[in-house]
Amino acid sequence: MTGLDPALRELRDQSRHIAAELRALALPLDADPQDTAPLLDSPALELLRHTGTPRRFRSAAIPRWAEEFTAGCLGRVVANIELARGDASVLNACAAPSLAGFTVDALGDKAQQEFFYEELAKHRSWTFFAMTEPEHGSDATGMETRLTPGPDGGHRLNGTKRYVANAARGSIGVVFARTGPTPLSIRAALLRLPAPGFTGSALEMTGLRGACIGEMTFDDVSVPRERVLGAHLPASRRGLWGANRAFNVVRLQIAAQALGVAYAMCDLVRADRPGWTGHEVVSARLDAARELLYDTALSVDTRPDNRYPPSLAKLHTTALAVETGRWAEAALGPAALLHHPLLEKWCRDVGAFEFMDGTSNVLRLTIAPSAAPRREGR
Amino acid sequence: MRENTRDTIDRCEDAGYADGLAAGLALALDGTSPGPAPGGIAALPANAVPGGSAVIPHVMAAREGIVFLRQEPAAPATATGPAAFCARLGAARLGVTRRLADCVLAHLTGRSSGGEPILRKQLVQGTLADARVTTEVARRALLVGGASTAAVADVHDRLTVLDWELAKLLGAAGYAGESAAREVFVSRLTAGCWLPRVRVT
Repeated sequence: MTGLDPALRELRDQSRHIAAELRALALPLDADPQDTAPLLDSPALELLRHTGTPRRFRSAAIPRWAEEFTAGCLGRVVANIELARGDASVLNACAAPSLAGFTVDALGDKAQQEFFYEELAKHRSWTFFAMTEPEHGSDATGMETRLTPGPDGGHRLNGTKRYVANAARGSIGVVFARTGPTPLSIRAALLRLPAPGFTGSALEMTGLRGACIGEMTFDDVSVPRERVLGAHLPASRRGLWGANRAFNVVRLQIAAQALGVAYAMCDLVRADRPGWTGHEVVSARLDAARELLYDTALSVDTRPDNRYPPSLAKLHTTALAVETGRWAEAALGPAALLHHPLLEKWCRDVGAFEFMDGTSNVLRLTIAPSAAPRREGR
Repeated sequence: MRENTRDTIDRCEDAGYADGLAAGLALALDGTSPGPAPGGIAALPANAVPGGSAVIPHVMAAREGIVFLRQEPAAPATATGPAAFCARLGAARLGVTRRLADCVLAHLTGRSSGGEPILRKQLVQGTLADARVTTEVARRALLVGGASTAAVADVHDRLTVLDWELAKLLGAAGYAGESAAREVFVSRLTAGCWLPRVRVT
């Protein structure tokens, strides 16, 4: 077993404490995800916002235990499991740097990072990460959004992105766009909104409504030259491929959140049926998945470019969460999902993890062996 | 007798396929009484709900024309129940599943990934082929197992699994915005109200 050191155990325990605050916001947020006042008033989300911000850009101090959250991938996994066990939708409603922050960390120069994080600190902004397109999903080879030279020495952004978290309410983030025909010509632009030519709209979501997924349309939006990320990097690291390490961490975080929701569903069944031992197989599966995630986190820290372990972990826990929902429904008897609104919501929420950062089939293509097995080791 | 059953099952499936879950449920309820809902919450077509009923608000269900209402006192869950009605409901759900399969095909047709049509990807073809098999088997299982609550419940469970496998092929399009995937979730909730499922022991 992957034993947690005292610092990580405290992070886990404190995250459980925060999770209770997230749980209290869960059903109201599901009913009205546009009501942001409770989110902005939440001390738990405020702490998570500061915790997810690199230390040099924080506008407030965080407790020592919270430093473990970003100290390594294992800390992120430990915390995300427990926080999502409170409620993953509320966790995804947090106005934190999130995936945009990872991208700016990986591709941005010092000035770009300062611009991004100072904006966040000043306005408590939601962030967006605009990659997916209506006709091509996240298939970068088909990306149509274009970044072209503008008359003022900067660039013009044209295209449509869909299924983007915080599409309508985000005020700073990154947009991936094509500057030419090759995969290496896909670049990320740092964008502050609102901006002339931009339109954002929210989409009705089946679940995980706190993420406020929507559509973004760019019609000749001006992008100053200095807001295009990666100019200081080698050509091969400037765009999509430069952000691959960040994607690995995010994929594992999503896997951790899926497992957290599965734990929440199992917890609910056990609370409703005290003394019942029928949860043992499911509980064992969840604990095994947690071990898998802990091991995967350690491997991501040591081999950050290896896409295989986080893909495997996410493929497993997203399916496990869906299955756990069905098991919980059966375990609680007729009309279980209507008698237990949180369970009903979680059964909807877990569907979101399927398409976030790689569908199951995309992950299978990453995981499938492509050669005869080697004999040494596993 | 078997022909009558087949005709009823076929008509419920056709209604679910052509007109959606509420129409299929209405036909499943037509001329039969399912008795009290085993969990104390009934799922009915919106136009069949008596005035003054204790309705449980549910946005997704309302959009599909389905209403959940409390029945007091709840009937005790038993291993035997209105299997024939649940078989009809299963057929209506089967029709809804086929609607979703049509949406999936429409969504995937013309789309490509990595320069290859998505419908030619083996993982996708495998899922669509398995869906056809499950659909054909489920229809026959409802026909021959209509007297067995357990057999009918098994069909419902397999439809719930199949619905999710199909919805996954829609990607985010099946999760955000207008989508047939929403209807199959309400289909699952509706089945949950009527299946006399005994709490797993």
